[in-house]
Amino acid sequence: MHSALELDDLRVHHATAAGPLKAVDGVTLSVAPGETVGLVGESGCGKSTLARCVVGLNTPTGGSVRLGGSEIAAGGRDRVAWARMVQMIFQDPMGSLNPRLTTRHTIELPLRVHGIGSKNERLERVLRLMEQVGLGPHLLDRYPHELSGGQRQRVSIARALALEPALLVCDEIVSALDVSVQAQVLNLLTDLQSKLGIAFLFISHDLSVVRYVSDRIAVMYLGRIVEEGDSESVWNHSRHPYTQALIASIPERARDEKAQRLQLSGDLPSPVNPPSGCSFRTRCPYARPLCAEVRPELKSDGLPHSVACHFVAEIPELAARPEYAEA
Amino acid sequence: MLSTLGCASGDPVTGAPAPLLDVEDLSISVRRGVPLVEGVSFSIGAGEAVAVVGESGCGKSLTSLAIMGLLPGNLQRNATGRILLEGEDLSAKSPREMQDVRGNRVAMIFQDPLTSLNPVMTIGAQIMEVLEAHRDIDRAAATARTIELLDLVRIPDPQERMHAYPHQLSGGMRQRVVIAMAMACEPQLIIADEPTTALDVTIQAQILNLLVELRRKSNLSLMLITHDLGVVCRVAERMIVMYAGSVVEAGEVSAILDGARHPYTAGLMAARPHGSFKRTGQRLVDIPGTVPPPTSRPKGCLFEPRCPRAQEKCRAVRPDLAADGAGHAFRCHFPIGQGEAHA
Repeated sequence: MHSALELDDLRVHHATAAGPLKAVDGVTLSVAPGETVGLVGESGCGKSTLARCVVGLNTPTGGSVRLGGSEIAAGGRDRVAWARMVQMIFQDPMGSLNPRLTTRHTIELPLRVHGIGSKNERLERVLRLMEQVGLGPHLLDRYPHELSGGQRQRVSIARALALEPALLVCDEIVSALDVSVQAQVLNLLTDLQSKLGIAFLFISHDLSVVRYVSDRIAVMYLGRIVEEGDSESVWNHSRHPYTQALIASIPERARDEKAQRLQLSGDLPSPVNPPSGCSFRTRCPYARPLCAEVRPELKSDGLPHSVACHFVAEIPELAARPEYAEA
Repeated sequence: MLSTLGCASGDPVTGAPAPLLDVEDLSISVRRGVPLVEGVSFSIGAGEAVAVVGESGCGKSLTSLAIMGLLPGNLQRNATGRILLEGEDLSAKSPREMQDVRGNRVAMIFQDPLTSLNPVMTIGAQIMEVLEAHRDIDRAAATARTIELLDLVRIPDPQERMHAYPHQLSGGMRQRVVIAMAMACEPQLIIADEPTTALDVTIQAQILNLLVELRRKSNLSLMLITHDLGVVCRVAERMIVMYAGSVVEAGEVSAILDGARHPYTAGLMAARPHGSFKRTGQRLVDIPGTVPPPTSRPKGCLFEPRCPRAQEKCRAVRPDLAADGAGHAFRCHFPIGQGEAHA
């Protein structure tokens, strides 16, 4: 069986006056059918650009995107076939829903574009989709402004499901929602997955959300994946200093004082002129001269998952880091 | 109705000394029968950090705007209750007098530093503007103080950076500038409205540490508005949970997180993603439904339509905010018992 998604050495470089901006710089990642892969990273790490390449909103400058085993050529004639295989849900439902379309027309539109069913069959399908995402039939003729944030996000999900894609790309879809509504939407996603067997590429800056929904986690920093593997393995046994800093930065009661000692200094460097060698070295407490010369590749020698770091053998797990252990 | 929660002579609920800020029975409505904030009372002691927690539309930001005297005119006219700063009633002050309070005694930090900074002024000029508005200070002294402030919020190379424009700084640096502006006149109270929500998690950690450090250094009081319980325990000693315009629970942060008595607070805590669904198959405990809009709030308990513990009485009678002996207050007819495990 083919993977739902295979990215091979994906690159997106933009030409700017100051030189090439490498938004995505050689990412290889796959999502199996029915699997959830979480992609986590901070603003500017290239995770949204990557998502947009997967659905065809951005054109990669190198590498390939394969959906269900077949390679997709950007801008090609198979745009329609592409849309049937993968759909995307965005962060802000108010910005991604047409304010002049009712729930019914929003969800029906993909079916009409693809010429599926008669008018009555489509209405029936819309109602079934609404039921699937937990929207009552009384919301059929409502406009987006008449819905709550959570309801709007459910409409986006129903629209994305209309063509029964094998892969859904979710870009920060719960970030704009309140905690209680966020939990509703996350529950809906896990329910839909077990019922429909859809694969998710779940993108978020929030590591605890990503850990909750994902089978596997990939951590991105400045256009590259720095750590990738089984979700619990990455969460409990992270070895890349960046992943460790991300976990330690989550404000949580049990970790407060310790987290302070592991705080990253400085900001994300500019992706236009990223540091040579390992792009994390400017903020890394373990950086050595080698890190400035050679870019580390993602590898899993003797580890439960892959890490891109020259000195991974010397970096203890988070719980064993001297700064983090009880003073 | 809940005048038991704080008065000028001291706070019977927490037993704290006479508070710096005292909000008494604050109500804000659009018009009759459409209340946005209802009977909110709380106090903040000198040097104390109090977090106000709640979801969108619970009235936490309106409450802070009311304290700052920044409510839009139509809401200002319909606001009742008293806001006392060191015993002085702010609601009785003229707009001119309020201008002197703002920035000088109470300062505010907003969520998005890019919209709270002027894009066409250098950050140095913006900080000096605050100093010159409130202090009788000459150029040289203002410049020196600006550099000192930028250094205080740990902006590297302040002499150079003060000539930078906001767009030349990263999000974290911009928020540091906003904090420096708020600190400029050494206010007694800083109100921070979701100060780290727009920031990345590693930058959020830096800014939270900065706030904690500034508080320790200058005995500052802090009112922190947030939706993130993790941020609350990082920064605050006491917390107030708001729902649909009123206070539903208040007390020590550790007491509430160890044993929330109000089902809404317990629900908020349980709804945070934790663990791994793929490993345990455990669904998150969500709070079904949505917050009732101000136009159709229930007659009884505001949380009743979404509450798993609701009974007949909850539909009929709105509960009062009642405190237990230890200063932990909650607005519920059937609170979660002490020691009772909440989901």
